[in-house]
Amino acid sequence: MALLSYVVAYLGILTFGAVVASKCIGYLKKPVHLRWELYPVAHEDARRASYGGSYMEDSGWWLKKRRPSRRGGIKAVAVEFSTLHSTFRNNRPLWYRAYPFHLGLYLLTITMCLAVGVSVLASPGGLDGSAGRFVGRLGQTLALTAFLCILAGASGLLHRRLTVPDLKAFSTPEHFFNLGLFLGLSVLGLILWLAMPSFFGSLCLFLGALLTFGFISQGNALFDLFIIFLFALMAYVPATHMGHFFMKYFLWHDIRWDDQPARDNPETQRKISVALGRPVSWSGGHVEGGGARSWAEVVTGRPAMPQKREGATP
Amino acid sequence: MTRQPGLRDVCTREGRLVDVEADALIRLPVAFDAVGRESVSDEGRDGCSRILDDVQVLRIPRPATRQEEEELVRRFLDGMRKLFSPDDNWTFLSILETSMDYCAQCNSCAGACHLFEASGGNGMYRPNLRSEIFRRIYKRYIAKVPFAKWRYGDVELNWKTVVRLGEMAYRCNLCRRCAQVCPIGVDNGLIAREIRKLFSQEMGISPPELHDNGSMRQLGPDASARNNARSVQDRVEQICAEYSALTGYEFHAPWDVQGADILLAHSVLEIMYWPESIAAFAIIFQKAGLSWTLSSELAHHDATNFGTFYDDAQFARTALLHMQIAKRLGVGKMVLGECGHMSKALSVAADRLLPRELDIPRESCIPILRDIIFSGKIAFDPSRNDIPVTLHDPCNVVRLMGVNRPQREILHYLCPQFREMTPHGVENYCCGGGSGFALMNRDNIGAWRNNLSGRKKMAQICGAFAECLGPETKKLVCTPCSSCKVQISDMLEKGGVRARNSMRCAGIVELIVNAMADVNPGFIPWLRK
Ligand code: SF4
Ligand code: SF4
Repeated sequence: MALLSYVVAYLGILTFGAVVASKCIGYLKKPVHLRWELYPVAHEDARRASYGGSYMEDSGWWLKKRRPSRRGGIKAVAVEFSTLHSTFRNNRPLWYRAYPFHLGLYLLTITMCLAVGVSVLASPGGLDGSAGRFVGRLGQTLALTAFLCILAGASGLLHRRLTVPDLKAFSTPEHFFNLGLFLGLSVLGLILWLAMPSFFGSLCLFLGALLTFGFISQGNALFDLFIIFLFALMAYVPATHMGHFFMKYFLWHDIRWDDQPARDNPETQRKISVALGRPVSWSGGHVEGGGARSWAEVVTGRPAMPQKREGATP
Repeated sequence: MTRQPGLRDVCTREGRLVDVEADALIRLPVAFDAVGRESVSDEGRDGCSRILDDVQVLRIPRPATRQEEEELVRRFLDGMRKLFSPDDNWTFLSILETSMDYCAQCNSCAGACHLFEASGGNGMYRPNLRSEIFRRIYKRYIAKVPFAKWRYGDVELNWKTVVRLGEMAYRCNLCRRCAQVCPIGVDNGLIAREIRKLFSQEMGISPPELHDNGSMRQLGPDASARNNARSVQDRVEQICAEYSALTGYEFHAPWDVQGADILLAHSVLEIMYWPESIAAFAIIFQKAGLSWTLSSELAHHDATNFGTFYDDAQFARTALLHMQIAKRLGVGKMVLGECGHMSKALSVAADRLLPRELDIPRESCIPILRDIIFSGKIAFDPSRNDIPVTLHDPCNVVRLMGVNRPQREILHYLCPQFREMTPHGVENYCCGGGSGFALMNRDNIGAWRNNLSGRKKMAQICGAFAECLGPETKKLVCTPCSSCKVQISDMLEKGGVRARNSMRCAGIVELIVNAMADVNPGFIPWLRK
């Protein structure tokens, strides 16, 4: 079981990286899209971003230097990630459940990062001295809070999905399955936290061994099971709709806030000319694509006057 | 019939799916004459099936045989495949795919939709309903995700699903308010437009107002183009003469001036039905000493871009046509008149379609109007506009272009009793005429627009004038968009509010000229004290 936990952990990390990378690369390889921004755009200057203004509020905007505020974009994403501000504003009952759930996941991630840091920096014997004890207690507290938050959030979300008709109607089997997984993880984590002398200490030892290919057994089958659960979940999450945690970068930066005019960007201009060379195969009589003509050919010509279309005025 | 159709109901229910009862609609603080929802039978006169609700925007013939049913589904699936092809749909593929893959089904979008709210929470208007049916079909039949049926839930793909999805894409104003509140960035408005595209680009099905009488006439061979340029020019000359007499200020609208600084793109619909608008532009531009022109070619084809609402090929063709006209005139820039979708289409959406040589700068007219007003070139007497005025923000101008502040600066300066609606700016609600509906009056579509899709806006307007709703106070709803003006004026007129509550609608330019100190008062005669 201990060995299996290491195997699953390595596979989990690799799969996580591979899925995230393939989704990101898949997105980046997509053709350039038309501008479809939605205001407020966070990287506008602070005054404009506050009310949803754009550079197009200036007459002759193309003559002025545009200075998108990277800080504004980062700040908006940071606020959204840390507070789920959008849900807080627009769907408060859900936020009461979704926020603890997400907070729990953030805390669990922080706990893991802390454990990696400790396993790299601390002496092989573990957490010594007062600083070590402090970090140990911090890790224990973070882990406990993380599990409690995930438990509260996941059960709250599950309850809501089961009882609110509007949500129930749109909840898929995968939603229930996913929430069930997180519930299982948090329950297992809590049992371990209570049962082990130091859950965080064991986590540090495990991650240290994982990094050094040490394969030390923690001598606790339940802990091994927890590790298997955790890393399997890590591999699974990005493949589901929960992959929004990294795809949101593209959804926000590259779609919602993509206000860059083509005239400022030779790379976009190049992509547009490639896209216009793509073949069109739509069958609508007015498109006249046929699979042989390119978008450039189709849109620079006029549509032939139609044969009678369905939906046309009789 | 039901009020809360489930996902399966859309695919399986016989007959009409939903009933939007009049008494479920949100209440308005003014008497709003029941804008008759003329009773229309389930089976339209034309053999088309009315199987969603009592409105019918698309005329999809009811399949007569099993073979015809299957053929409809097959064509739909062919189109759906193309929507997810980087060749056929490079324009929106990345946005569509991410919207398919990352929806959390949190339902935050429902509360943002004016149609859902106005209908009293009728499930058919939930922004995510059509998206989720479309998503499930995509996962199972196009992406072919393993175990899709069990992972994402099942939908039955049959002719009823296809017909209802097509109609549901036209129970949306494409205002994208739902997308704005989505914590993930999923765009239900875009999905509705993609479904419209599929029906038009693959199946040849679209509303006649947008296609046959819209983009096809606009793009067709010259003989059938939308307008006779000569008669538009004559009409504008006549308007200039009438308003020169009214204002005591002699002005002209220049046509086809080669090399002018500005080409003003103005919708012909507006010239015909709102003559004061082009008159006001001409007065302002002439007084400000601008070098500008109108284009007879643009008048001939019309500056509207119908394709924006339903079809990328038509959209791109129209945008290119407009820019070629600007290029031929050799103008310095194109200023887009008071028309929301035209402004967004040319400034934002077409930006990544134009070859460099056609990328002539384009801008909304609002910033330049603001600059003129505060330049000191024209003297104003705001007391001429001293009535309660509120602003309806066209979604295309604010939420989709970010032109938000200049119109407010103008109105705060020129209208002493200006007040905002709640909410406003980027959080505004659609007027109900968005995405081409303002042009539709067939059967009971006009009644639907006035009674349901515009209802939330009507409530907002009443809210802005809450303390002065009575007939003794004249009130004006200002909006810099011709479609919004058509929709709001129609609601005021048909709902009886115009007469009973002394309320009218106008553009910003009319209010600007009405407040000019050195022309005769009463440019908007109705406002004369
Ligand atoms: S579209 Fe966005 S707001 Fe609507 S249900 Fe999906 S994730 Fe939630
Ligand atoms: S785009 Fe507008 S009308 Fe359409 S579903 Fe979204 S909020 Fe409703």
